[in-house]
Amino acid sequence: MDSGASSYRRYLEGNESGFDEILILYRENLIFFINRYIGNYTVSEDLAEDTFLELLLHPKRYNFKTPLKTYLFAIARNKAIDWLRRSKRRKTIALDETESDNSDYACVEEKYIGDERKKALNDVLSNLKDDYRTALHLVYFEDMTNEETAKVMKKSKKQVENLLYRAKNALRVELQKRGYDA
Amino acid sequence: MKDFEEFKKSIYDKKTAYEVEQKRKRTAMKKLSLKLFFFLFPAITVAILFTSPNMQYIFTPKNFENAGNDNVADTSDDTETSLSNGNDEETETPHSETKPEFNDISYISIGTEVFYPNGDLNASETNTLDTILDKLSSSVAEAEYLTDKVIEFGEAEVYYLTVTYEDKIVTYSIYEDYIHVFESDYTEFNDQSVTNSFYVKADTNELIELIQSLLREK
Repeated sequence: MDSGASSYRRYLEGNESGFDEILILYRENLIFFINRYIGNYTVSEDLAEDTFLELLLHPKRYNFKTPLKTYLFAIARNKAIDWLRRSKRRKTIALDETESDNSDYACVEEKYIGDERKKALNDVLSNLKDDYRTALHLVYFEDMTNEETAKVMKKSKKQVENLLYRAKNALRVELQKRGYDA
Repeated sequence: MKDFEEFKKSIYDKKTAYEVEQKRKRTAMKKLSLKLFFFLFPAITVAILFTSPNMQYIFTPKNFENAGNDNVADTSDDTETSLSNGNDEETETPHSETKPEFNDISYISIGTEVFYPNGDLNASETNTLDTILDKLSSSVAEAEYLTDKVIEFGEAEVYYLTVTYEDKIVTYSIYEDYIHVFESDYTEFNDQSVTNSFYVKADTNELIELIQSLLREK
């Protein structure tokens, strides 16, 4: 059982600090992940809250067989996609709000992305297709296995392997365009 | 950008809001269910009562008590309609103060109608005048619900006698020189099906006299 799942079990047994541990473990990762879809930090934060809220409202939905991280990222992905479907996001966001979001996001990004290699990767990812971006993010930034990535993306392991292969090729082209040594 | 405590508080606030909303929905649903129950239950009960063939059968005598009304007994009405050319008029309708019991004979209604039968007259060997006389006399004798003021007779009119049994209606249309016997069941209340229909050639004076005398005795 991963640490997130054991924390969650403790929370379900009545220990409130278990939930705090989950928030500490995954809060920033989730916001960062959701922001890849949404591109708006405030909304990403709000959707991350909704993701954690699922743990409080529907505890029976989690079966403790998969890592809690995988479960949370799957929920987060669904919420992000739902939000994108519902809104005409790019047309309604005000410019000042976007700027403020970007500064918030930059803080998180700075904190989250340590080395230069990941920073370069992060820059290029935004130019890739949604699926490529998600798969690469989960594998390179969240250190998930192909199997876990498949669960989050509701695809088979084989599909994710193929997706990653194509995503890496696309990434290589993008990196070369920007002068990085791919 | 929220700090950790704000982020956590926001989640718990959402949880509280969700639970309040769920509670409100549950209360609203309960109220709606109760309203539906109190409205639908009586409505369904009444609908079942008035659509059930048995219940209609029980309600029938009430109509029958409305003497002089157009809505005379449904059973006799239906039979009359099927026999008449639409020109029938109920001049007198027998009725009873007490409710009939649905045993062998529940009630007998006797009226008049203008009726010109078409088609051949087929005498029946098994249904002779004697048989009919016996049947009629026993029916009239056993009937508990008769009045003696119902028979009118004119040139174009016939004696019209309806005997209602538990499971069938027999109508005797008594012409000058023949009788038309018409039996129908009414298991389906509004859809009487003819189970037997035949004509018997006879001098009906004797029959009419018999009925009149039986009615007088009643």
